[in-house]
Amino acid sequence: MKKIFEIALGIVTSVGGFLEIGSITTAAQAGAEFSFQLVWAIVLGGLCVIFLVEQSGRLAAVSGHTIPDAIRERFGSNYFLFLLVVIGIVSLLVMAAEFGGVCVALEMATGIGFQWWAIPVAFVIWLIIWKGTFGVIEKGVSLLGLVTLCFVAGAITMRPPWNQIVHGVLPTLAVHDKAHYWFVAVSILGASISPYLFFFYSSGAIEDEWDESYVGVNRVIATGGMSFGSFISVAVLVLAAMLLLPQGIKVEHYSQLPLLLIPVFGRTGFWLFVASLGIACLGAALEITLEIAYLAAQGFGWNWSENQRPLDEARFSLVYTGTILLAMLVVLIGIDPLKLTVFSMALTAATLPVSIVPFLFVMNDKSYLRDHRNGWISNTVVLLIIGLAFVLSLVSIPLQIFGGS
Amino acid sequence: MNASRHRVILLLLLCVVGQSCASSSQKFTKEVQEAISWVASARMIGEAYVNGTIPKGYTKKALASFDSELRSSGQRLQSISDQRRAGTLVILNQAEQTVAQMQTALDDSVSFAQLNLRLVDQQRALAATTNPQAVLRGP
Repeated sequence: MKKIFEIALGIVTSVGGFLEIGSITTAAQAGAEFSFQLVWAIVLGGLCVIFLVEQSGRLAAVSGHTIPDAIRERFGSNYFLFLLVVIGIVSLLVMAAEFGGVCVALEMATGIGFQWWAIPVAFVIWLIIWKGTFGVIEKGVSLLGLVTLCFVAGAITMRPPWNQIVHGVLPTLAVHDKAHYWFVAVSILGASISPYLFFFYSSGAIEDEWDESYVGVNRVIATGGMSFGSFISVAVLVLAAMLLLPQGIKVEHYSQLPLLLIPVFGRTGFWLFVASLGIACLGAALEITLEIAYLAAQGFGWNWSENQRPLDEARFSLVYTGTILLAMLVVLIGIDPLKLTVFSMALTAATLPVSIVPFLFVMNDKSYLRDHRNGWISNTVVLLIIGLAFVLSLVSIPLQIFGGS
Repeated sequence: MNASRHRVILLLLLCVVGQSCASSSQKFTKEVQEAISWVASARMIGEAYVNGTIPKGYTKKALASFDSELRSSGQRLQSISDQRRAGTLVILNQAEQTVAQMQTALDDSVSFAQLNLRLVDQQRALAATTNPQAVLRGP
């Protein structure tokens, strides 16, 4: 009975915590410019993240190791330092984008410019992490994140053409703006397969004291949570395709985003959007901040746990405090949160091999996983998708930057 | 030998000119589509404000952003050589002015609604510069 409750809670929190500024923005851009044509990118990203999250949970449950911890042991401290720098920079950019998302939600609600919210938001994020426990951050904020289901309700209310959506699951070539099409596809993959997601998940499994008996629970949570989560992203794409595309609106500014829900739910739609953006980005910002601190602490062998007192893990606390300050500075400078989001999502896709290839080596190592090592299907699926994301990003990012279309 | 070389050079020149014309036309269309996107966004936000769906603060901020983006679109259009440029710039400037006026008419619901209706025509006119059929269909 306890396990069933844990599965239900795990799926609900995974769904509530799935959407963030990256998935909202990239799905909205895809729908507004390419109709249902890029549904495949969300499905592919969702499939990959199911495999990766399941693997990271399995690693933690069976071996008691988190991913950074195992990578450092298996590949040595030099590779770990390289991983720390690459993942650290990318995660910091994603964190700044999520941080910006919370500030933008507050700007929408109050009319006060988003930069003005940078310092109060930084303080609130810091206070939650300083005072809160892992359970509060993982479950509390994610449960609030269930408000993002309003996108699914909105999409269903619009009576979408289901046959076209199903057709979009199969990859097709771009009809127009080829470079931009692939750039958006890469950004969607980057938003779905963020390393912070499965790094955080493995740390969470250790925080929740999972053991080998949780292998099955982990599989159900990873599959259920990530599948339903991807469904919310598809709903955002559907809304953009049905409401913005016919009007000729391309999503290039965050002020356009509430138009996804206003025509469906009116005044309630506006506030639902503001709540969804604010809560989803707050949840993601908390998780990424912790993930950066976990990454450093696990790699260098420091004390780490969100359930300990900050005094007992000073270096861990210092890293998350510094991360929050850096993200705050990025927002204070006034960089457009939407542009930062799209760029950081594409960069995430480009750097995926750095974290995932060594992770796959660990997942095939008998000394860690014993009888729970990866099968050939898991390895092939993940490698194929990562290879695809890497190649696409190498091609489409320069094309996008240098004005190709 | 000399004549054939000249013909090859001429052919290459024609290709380069043809390519640059095609790309400037594509650039023009892309830029106009972007401007239409900003006008349509302002119009939808305007409609929502008229219906009392969204708060004044957000409306003002959103309109200011779209206004600034429209101005940037106009500046970029000026650097693209295309025979439709002059006419398009006139419509774009009008649309930009309408969005600017909407920001100051937030407290006057009648004027605001009229300005918003004007945007509908301006969006239609902009669309017609790249696709004349769009006039018949409307935004």
